[in-house]
Amino acid sequence: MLKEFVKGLWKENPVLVAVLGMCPTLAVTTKAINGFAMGMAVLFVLTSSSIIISLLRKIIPHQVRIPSFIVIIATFVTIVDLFFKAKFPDISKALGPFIPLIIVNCIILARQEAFASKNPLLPSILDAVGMSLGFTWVLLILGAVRELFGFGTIFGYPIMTHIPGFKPILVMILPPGAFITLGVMKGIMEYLTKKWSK
Amino acid sequence: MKVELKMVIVLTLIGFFSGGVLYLVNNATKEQIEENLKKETLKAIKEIFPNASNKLPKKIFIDRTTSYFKIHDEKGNLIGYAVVAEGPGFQGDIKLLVGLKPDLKEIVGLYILEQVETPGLGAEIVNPNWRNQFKGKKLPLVVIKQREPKTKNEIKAITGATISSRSVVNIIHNAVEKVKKKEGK
Repeated sequence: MLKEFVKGLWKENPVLVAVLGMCPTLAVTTKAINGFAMGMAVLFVLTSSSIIISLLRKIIPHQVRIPSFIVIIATFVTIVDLFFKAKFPDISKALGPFIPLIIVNCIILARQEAFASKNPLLPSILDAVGMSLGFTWVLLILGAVRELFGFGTIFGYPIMTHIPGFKPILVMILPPGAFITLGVMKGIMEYLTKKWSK
Repeated sequence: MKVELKMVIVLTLIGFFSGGVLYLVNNATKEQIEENLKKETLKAIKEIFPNASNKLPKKIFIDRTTSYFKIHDEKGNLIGYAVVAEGPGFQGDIKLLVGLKPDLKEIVGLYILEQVETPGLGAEIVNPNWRNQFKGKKLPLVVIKQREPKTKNEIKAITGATISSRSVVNIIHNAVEKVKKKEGK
């Protein structure tokens, strides 16, 4: 049972192995905090959707499963959006467009299709939490690396400014910076996986 | 049960429940969201006009995207206008509040209420380091790049987000024109 949780962290990591959810991965990771917040929002939406869809898996006919999944996911995303706007207006402002973006995050749809719609409740929850955390750590590192070189800070704390002659590298916070960083991360991961499997 | 019928029933029920849940969540949060918006508008006005009275003045509507407040101090003297305006940015609409002197020619301050610009680039329009340069600037504004502003009309664009910076200036220009017409100035 535990392997359903662990697989999302490394072996079947949704970003680095399955290469899913590229839109939020590349778009929102300009700062570490943005990557982390996106990960937490995905954790809530993915876990809630997996619970509902796992419970309904024998009721939803195969032919209309995709529209059913999308309606359920969109409902949870809208709840998060309204809840943040009412209770945490500051966080809501900082996340702004990221929250509605979760609806089109294909990691969530993929987990429903590949896992929650075929498995009982408990494995589905473990799968959802594992995948969300796998998504979160990649976005967090991606955001931290881009923030470090693009702004010279991590989580808003100045770090690189202590190094004389450092100038923010603008390209790191532009879209190419996201592709470069993600490519390097994927390369390191492949290397480590090969090395460890020997 | 025939599968066609089951499809229709299941989808209808899911849609029905999802609509119901969202109706309840929307009702439960609507007032709080409006309250937050009012609080934020007042906060923006107080930031731009520290002498303004603590009560939110009556909002005067011009059209769907533009409205404004007449700002008075505690004694009732007109100290300026706060214009709330909305317009297209780089990725979506930007909603801002700009404070103007009573002659509608000089900017007192700028506050961004809502935006969905690129984080780290266009979204930096909310950063006080950028928007505070509008203080004391005279209309019409000109957007410049890669050098420091020299005149009272120049606004330095955010590096990598010229379109967002220009959008803010355009929204201000359009809105002020409308307010001038309405106020007969």
